[in-house]
Amino acid sequence: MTLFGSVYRFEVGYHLRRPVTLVYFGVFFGLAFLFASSDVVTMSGAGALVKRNAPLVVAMLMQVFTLIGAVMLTAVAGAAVLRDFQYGSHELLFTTSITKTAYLGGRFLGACTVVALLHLALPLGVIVGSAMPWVDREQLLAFNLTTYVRPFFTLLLPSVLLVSAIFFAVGALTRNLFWVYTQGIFLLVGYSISGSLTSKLDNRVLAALLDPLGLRALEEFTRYWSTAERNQLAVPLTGVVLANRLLWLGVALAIFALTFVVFKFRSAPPTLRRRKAKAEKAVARAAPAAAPASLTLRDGFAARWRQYLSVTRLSFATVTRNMVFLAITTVLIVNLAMAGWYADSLYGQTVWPVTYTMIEVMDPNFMIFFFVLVTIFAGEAIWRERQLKLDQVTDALPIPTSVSVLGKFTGLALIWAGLLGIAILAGVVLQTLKGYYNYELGLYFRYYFGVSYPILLQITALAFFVHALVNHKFAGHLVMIVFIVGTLVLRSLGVEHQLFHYGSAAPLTYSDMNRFGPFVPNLVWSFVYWSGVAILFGLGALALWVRGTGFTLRERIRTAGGRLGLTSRALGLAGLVAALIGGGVIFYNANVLNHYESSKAARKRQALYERTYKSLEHTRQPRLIDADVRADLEPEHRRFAVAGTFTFVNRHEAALDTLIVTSAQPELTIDTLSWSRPTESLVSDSALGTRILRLREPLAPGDTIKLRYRARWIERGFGNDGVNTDIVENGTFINSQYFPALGYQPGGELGSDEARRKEKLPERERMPRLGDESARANTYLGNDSDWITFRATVSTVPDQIAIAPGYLQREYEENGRRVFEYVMDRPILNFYSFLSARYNVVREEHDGIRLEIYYQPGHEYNLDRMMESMKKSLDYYGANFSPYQFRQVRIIEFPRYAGFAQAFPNTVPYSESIGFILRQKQGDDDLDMPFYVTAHEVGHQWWAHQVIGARMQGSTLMSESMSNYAALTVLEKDLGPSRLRKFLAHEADRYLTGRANETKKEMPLYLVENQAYIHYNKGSLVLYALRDLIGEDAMNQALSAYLRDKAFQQPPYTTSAEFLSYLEAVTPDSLAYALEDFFRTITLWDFETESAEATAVPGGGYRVRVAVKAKKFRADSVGNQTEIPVHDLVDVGVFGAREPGNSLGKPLVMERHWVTGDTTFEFTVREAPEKAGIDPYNKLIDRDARNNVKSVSTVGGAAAVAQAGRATGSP
Amino acid sequence: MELVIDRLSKTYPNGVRALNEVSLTIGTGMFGLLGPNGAGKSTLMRTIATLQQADGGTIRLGSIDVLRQPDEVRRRLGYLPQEFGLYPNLSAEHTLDHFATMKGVTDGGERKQLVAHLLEQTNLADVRKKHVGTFSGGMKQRLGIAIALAGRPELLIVDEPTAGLDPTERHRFLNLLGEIGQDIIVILSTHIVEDVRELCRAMAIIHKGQVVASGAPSEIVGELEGRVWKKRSTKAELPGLQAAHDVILVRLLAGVPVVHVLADSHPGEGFEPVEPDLEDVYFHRIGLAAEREAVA
Repeated sequence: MTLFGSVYRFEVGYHLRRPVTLVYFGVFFGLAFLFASSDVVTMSGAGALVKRNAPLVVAMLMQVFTLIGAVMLTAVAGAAVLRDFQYGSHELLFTTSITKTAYLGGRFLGACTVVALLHLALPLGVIVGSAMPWVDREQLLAFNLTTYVRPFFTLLLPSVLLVSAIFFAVGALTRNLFWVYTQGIFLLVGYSISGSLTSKLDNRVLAALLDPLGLRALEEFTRYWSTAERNQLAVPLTGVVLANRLLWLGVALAIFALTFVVFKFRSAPPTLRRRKAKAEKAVARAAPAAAPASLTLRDGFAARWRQYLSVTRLSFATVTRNMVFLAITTVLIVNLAMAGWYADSLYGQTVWPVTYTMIEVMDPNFMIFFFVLVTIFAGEAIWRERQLKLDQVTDALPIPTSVSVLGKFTGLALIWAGLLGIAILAGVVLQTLKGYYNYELGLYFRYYFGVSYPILLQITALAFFVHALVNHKFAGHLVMIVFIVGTLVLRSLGVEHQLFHYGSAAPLTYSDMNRFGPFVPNLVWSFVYWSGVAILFGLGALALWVRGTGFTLRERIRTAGGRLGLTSRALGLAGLVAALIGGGVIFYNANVLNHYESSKAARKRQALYERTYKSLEHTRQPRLIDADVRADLEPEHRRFAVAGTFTFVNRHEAALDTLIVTSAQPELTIDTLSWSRPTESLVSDSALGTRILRLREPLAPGDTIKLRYRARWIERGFGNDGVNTDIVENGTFINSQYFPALGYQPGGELGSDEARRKEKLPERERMPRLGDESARANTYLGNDSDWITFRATVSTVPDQIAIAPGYLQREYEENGRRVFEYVMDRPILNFYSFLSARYNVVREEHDGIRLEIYYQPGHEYNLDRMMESMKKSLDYYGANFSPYQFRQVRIIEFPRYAGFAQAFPNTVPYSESIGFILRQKQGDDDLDMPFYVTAHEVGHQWWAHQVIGARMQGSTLMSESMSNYAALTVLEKDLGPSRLRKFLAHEADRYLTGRANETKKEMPLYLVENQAYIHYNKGSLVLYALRDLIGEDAMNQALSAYLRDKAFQQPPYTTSAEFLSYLEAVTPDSLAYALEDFFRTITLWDFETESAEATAVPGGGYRVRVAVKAKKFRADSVGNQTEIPVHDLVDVGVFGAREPGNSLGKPLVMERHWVTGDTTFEFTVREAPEKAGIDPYNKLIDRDARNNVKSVSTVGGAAAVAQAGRATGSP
Repeated sequence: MELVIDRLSKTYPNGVRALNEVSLTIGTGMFGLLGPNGAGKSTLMRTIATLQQADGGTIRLGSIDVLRQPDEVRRRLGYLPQEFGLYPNLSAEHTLDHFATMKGVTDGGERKQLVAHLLEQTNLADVRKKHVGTFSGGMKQRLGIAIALAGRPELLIVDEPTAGLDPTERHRFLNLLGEIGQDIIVILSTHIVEDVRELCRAMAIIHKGQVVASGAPSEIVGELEGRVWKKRSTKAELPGLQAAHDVILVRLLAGVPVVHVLADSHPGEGFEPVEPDLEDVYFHRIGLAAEREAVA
């Protein structure tokens, strides 16, 4: 035992004395500190309302860091035994009286202790960080020691033990540096692979169990925790979390035991298959070589060139033959391939693996991984000769330093090129495997070698410079790590100008429609600028290069100039010129051509707008009644002009004398803004986009006034944060924000609570309260209009089609432009857009309605389904809601700069990324998104464009929730209820995770404040459940009555309360509770089937007893729950053998029963029952939906009574 | 060609005076640089090899100012430092090919022939395809000398090349050096007296940065002619002997201490004259230098 103790103490002491241990500790502490005290380090799970030091957040932080730490800590546990072999001390050790137990046990526990001690930095960092005076107290809970102690012991220590055991085993058994250095990365990769399992809903529990670090188990367990629970509850050690911890603790012990058994106290590592000592192969011996008669030593250009090539070749060979490099790149490639394999799944959907999706796998996160690889191996290459003690030989060689520096650089550059080449190969192979053959090799090359590659070279140059300057390997690596971390956090530290982001590409979104499009100039100039800087770094490296020994930095700096020859100086000048020109052009573009505004300045401007003009919010304005607009698009020059004549009327009872004109685009050049009646300008504040005028003669009630408007938008170069993608060469999509609005626009106010606190603005409600009658004066789409008459003229380049709402009247050429005239023959909302691109068009006619899809050639995949969806939607909505008000539906594709579809009158712009490349496989039970999204947008033609809610709480219930309801009803009719259930399961998941990430407060559906997870996801669930309860006919009766009464109404606009009254009218009193639960409150159910037993009945059949528990809760806005009594009508079912299209099996019984608390049901079925349970299809919102159904256990014995049992709880 | 070192001095930032007005003239042939560890041999050699600057003094190689024209020197230089490694994953042939290119042998045909010849000469032809990482110390050392010779140097500097070699390897290596060292300047630093005695035409002894003796080995040995006496002694007797006589060295011969003393006349009972060798000179000179220092 004393032996053990001394080995243990030695191990611990050894690490504690190493400076690198302190560094690890510092890194952990620093990150945890930053997390708790700043926004630099953020983590999921800590939403806006979840406190930074909430128990769950601290626990997740610890677990995430075990993963990060694993890579760092490989050396501690992995090298514990290897170290002895490395230093050759194993032979000394193994011949002492030390026992295997003492040796292995001591080393292992010692390493574990050190690793555990290092992780103590995490809680310490959070504790110290959250105590910092600048931390917003709003974001913290009172200090509680158990918050830190509990997860440390229950979650973190088992992980540490496991990781240490794995690393220790690998180190001890392979005794191979390669594995020891790379196992951490392998662990990371394995981790991300198992993570891809989680994305599939059904595998989540399995993935949670299989997560060696338990992070996913904790995530899974707390997935639907509300804000309140996240802040209050201690970290659980039950259920899947406990199972996970026990499982992996067992694995850890097993691994250590295995190590102990297999490890032999001997010099050679145990190998399964001993590599045969290669027989010394005598190389065929040529005749003794004579000394060359003459030997010319050359130093001309040709000789230098050969020498450069030789250094390049050597640099390439030494890195690529390095085992660690091979290991890391293998991991990189595997990771890339893994990511590529999943690149075609997007939000649970499968898309075609088009080339840009494969390329974008190499996202910023991946690039960081690449940066690390680049900096480490650049550093290694620079230090190689000194590391080998070969530097004195190479330094005394008769070659200029530049030849060896350039050669090393080129060798690395070739390797990076090779890696990108492999990435391309991987992409192509993956595309092939997935059955997609349009490889677009040119795109691969342009992206990887045009965008990514220069960055790798720039970072390599920086690494050369840093290592030459610092001249200390470890410090050099450290500086580079600081640089990489810096690139990640610079922006959040407020350094936003791209001139300071070395090695970062300009923002870029590739689009099939518009290719690299408007991003090219910025990319090119960034390339020029950073390449220039990189050349200077490279020359700096050359000038400061260490050749020989004993030169101090000062001496090197003094003699630096002398090391640069004429060529180098010329190159330096070129680099300087490139940097100055590139930087100048970027500055000119970002700051002169465009208005540079930091996010802080933008916030201040918004705050100023509110402060200055809020008082005018209720100043009465005339209403828009007619818009005759024109848009002259010049996509080829990325500019356009808009013009229009707008007619307003005074609908108020008093005369009006003040006009407030707001322009949402401060950069717009307004040429004409003239009123048909004499006015005088009071305020012309172009910075805040506000003009205030006084009418010389007040506008009498009922009188009209016309505004003539003309403005130009010229996209000049590029801004700091990218370019305006509204007007692009192919795929223009501009909306009414380029036209003026009347009145103060509350939409221009700062929204986020945090930003408002920073600007000392009062707290702001997201929406006027339901019941605020004054808010019913406007729809939620705008505050200056009701229903308007509309006509639009759009001109564009001759090879493009331009589209606006309305029906095409005329198409003609004018001055070399192609002009389209659209007229809307009935009033519409003041909500329109203009699109223009080189489209292919499919046209069909369905019951007199023209259906058109304007799409990018090549995106034909889902046109049929979209067309089908339009037809089915129009049929169902027209038959059950109200007649369709237009004679046409058009779907128009636009580039993926935005990923939504949006419904304008008879016009649906639809992003290329959300439907056009989605992939429907044969026999796939994935959701049919193109069909669904189309049905949703067509639904909006009723639910928004016929009836629209007031600008107040709850109004999106009648547009977004109802469009969802409409779409899922059509979807169900097309695909059947089983596929729809899958869709609803996703909706439930999104709702429950959405409320966990709420930033302000969760609202009941009828008070929804434009919260997507409520009006979309919860909306789907409860409207479906309501239809299920009251029946489709009753539902449609209510909806059509509502539309009949409220469609195309004038103010006061309808509200969710009105909408509910229509539903109430068709809901029997006995079910009225459902409206309360679904719409007026936040209600959650908790169903559980406790037992399901079947007994065979003589003469065939089975009697099934199903015992269920039912609970119901009301939640407040942060998720504090109160249990309320249950008296609900709920499905109870028994299922038989598996059946295609029904995951639960063939329904043998499916009945609806009143459930109050714990109830037992009895059924008699003919076929063998497999599963049974309550609310088996999860129609009601239940955070633990899985325990609703249980497998039926068969009870032996023939005590079966053949009475047909009916449910004991039925009415 | 002659290498002339004139009053070369170097003091390191930590105050160590590595070279103190060292002056030497070295002609073609093998020149032995003898001195204990830390005497300044490596500093001197690195300075000649253009890897380090001196604080004062000059070095001339023929008409080349070594400190000012490093490129001219490098073109004529072969340098094998005391401790060195090689790229472990490269074959001997590739390594040598690379260094030959670096030295300016950029003509492919010439280089091929040169590499083959050097591998032959250093007895590495059989293993030319093997990775250097698998080489023994002697093989590595021979490959090192092959690298140093790759550009047909006029000045070859080898720093402690035989340290750590077994007797066979050492012999083989010294023979190789002997062959080469006919027409060019070869500076061999060592702390093994035998190396110098066996090979060198001229030599110098350095101690604490100063030249304490220089000349042909025979000349240097000559100055002790007839003044060295030896005596078989006992351990008990030693302290007395050391107090009474100028003891150069004590050697154990089959466990019995044998004392060499310096005396102009017969030092007394039990002493017998002995032919002085380089070792006597070495220890004598080092001892003298140490004394001077103690007095100063």
